[in-house]
Order: sequence, then structure tokens, then C-alpha cells
Amino acid sequence: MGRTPDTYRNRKITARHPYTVQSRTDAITAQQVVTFPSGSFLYDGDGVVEIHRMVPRVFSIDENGDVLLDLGAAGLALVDVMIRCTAHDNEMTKRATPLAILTLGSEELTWEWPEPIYLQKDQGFVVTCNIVDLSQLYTTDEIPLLRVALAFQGNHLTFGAV
Amino acid sequence: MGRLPTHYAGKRIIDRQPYVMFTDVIVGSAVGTNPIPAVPYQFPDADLAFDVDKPFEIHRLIPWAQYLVYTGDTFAPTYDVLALLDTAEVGIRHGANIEMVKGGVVMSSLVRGSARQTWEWEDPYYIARGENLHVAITATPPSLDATDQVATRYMAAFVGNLIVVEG
Repeated sequence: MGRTPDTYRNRKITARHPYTVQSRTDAITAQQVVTFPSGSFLYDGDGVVEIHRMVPRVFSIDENGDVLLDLGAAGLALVDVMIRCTAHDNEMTKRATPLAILTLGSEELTWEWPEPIYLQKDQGFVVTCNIVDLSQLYTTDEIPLLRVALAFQGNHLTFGAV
Repeated sequence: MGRLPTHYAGKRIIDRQPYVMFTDVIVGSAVGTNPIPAVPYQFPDADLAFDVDKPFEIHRLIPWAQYLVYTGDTFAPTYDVLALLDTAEVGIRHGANIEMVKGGVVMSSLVRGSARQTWEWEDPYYIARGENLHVAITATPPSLDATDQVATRYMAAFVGNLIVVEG
């Protein structure tokens, strides 16, 4: 858990209400690039949210979309991500990076940020995933289905007079 | 998590934006090639060439390794990260002269343990645009299991923040 500032742009933060935005996408590992639905991680409210962490999960699923297994840290190593923060207009990863290496280990499967990122309306994150390509190694019917779920967690802010 | 300084180069830090520089190298991509000899592998310099116009404040190094297997009907990418990190010795430099890890340190000895696989730095390390980190390993990956193991991938990530300073 990082810092929780007292103010945002000289406005006093008087309350924080938990906020999470989450999305998922299903892919077979033969697909090299998968994307989340457009706007999945953009904040569309009228206030301000502060984001403290990213929470990634990878599941194996069957052809009906039912979850077979949470693959834990091992699954996170199979998905490389590129993340762009539109609030800062910056890439957060220099190149595609395994989800596993963003977390702190099996004790804590989250990417914690020492300072929160603030989002206003229509700001957020654009995420592209590369799935490790196993198509050269297995026959098509052996390649599993994967579900990648990402959540960005933080707080909705309430302001009062300084 | 180490210290979060208030200033950089005499200027107040007014914002931090999470940032990661990641690199990897894959060893032994085919079954039947074991034993793989211990040879040096240089991680691509381009991955670790810092080219952003804000200073990069690095808080930790995360070394990682994996191999991929397929077992039965359920995908199970099983591995033991620490055991794989035991099979590589690493050297890390900043630029030409600053040695951060003297070559020959076993990768697994950099991290705290199985539940916390990071090398946390008490004070962050700063690099600026145009500077380069270099990581090289000498690896002896475990013998390939002809039935399921397919490759060993060694990885390293420098994790921290881009900082914005006042004026």
C-alpha cells in the first residue's frame, strides 16, 4: 500500500470510497496479441479516482468459458502486457512484460504503486496482452484456453474545503 | 519498499508514475538438446536502454525464470522459480563502469525468498535518459525432460517510477 495524500490539486480529500475497475478477455495461446474491450479501463464518472494497484489473474477455461483453474503466479508468467496510462500520456512498461514479474511474489500477486495515479473522466489505462506462443510446441487441440483478468483498485475521492 | 525521497538533484519531486524496464532471454528451446552447456547470455541492451525524458527512480530488481510444461487436459505451467534461478549466475552494470552485481552471483541469492521474490533497495537508484543498464548471465538450465519441459526463460525487471520534478 502506497501513500494516501491529504490533498489533490490543492483540494482537501475528505473521504475515500473503494473503487475497482475490472475487465477480462479470453484467448487461446496461439493468439499472439489479445486486447480488452475498448474503454475497459477508462474512468467514466464525473469525479476523481486514485488508483493504488493493479491486480492481475490468469485462469485456464474450457470451451464453454467455465473456469478450470486459477493458474496463480505460474499463469501470470504466460501473459506479457503493455500498459499505457492516458492520464500521464506515458507507457508504464518499456516493452511487453510478464504479469508475474510486476507482482511481488506468491505472497502478494499485485503491482503496488508507492504513489497513486489520479484519473478524471475518460482517463485510464490501455492494455495490450501478448500470450506466450505455444503453437510451435503443441498440436492445436492441446493448446489451452486462457482467461486474463485485470483489475485496477483504489478509491473514489470526496473533497472539502482546505 | 525503500525510502521515497522528497527531492531529486535538488528539485522537489511532485509526481511519480509507475514504470518497468523488463528484459529476457530464452535458453534451450528444443527437447533433446540436453545437456545444455553453461554459456554466457547477454540480455538485449535495447531493453535496458532508458529513453524517457523523465528520470527513472528504481526501487527493486525482480529476477524471474520459468519453464513451460503441458500435462494432461489442464494447462499447468508448473515451475519452481527459485530452483531455476539457482541455475544462473548474473552480473549487472550501470553504464560502462558501475558494477551493481559483480559477475558470478547466483540469481536466487538476490531475492528474499520464495514468497517475496524481489531484491528491494533501501534507497532508490536513479538513471536518466540515454543511460543503460546491462545484465548478463551464465546459465546451466536443468536438463530438459523429453516429455514435457520445452524451454527455460530467464527474466529481469527493474521496477520503480518515472518522476516529475518541480520547475
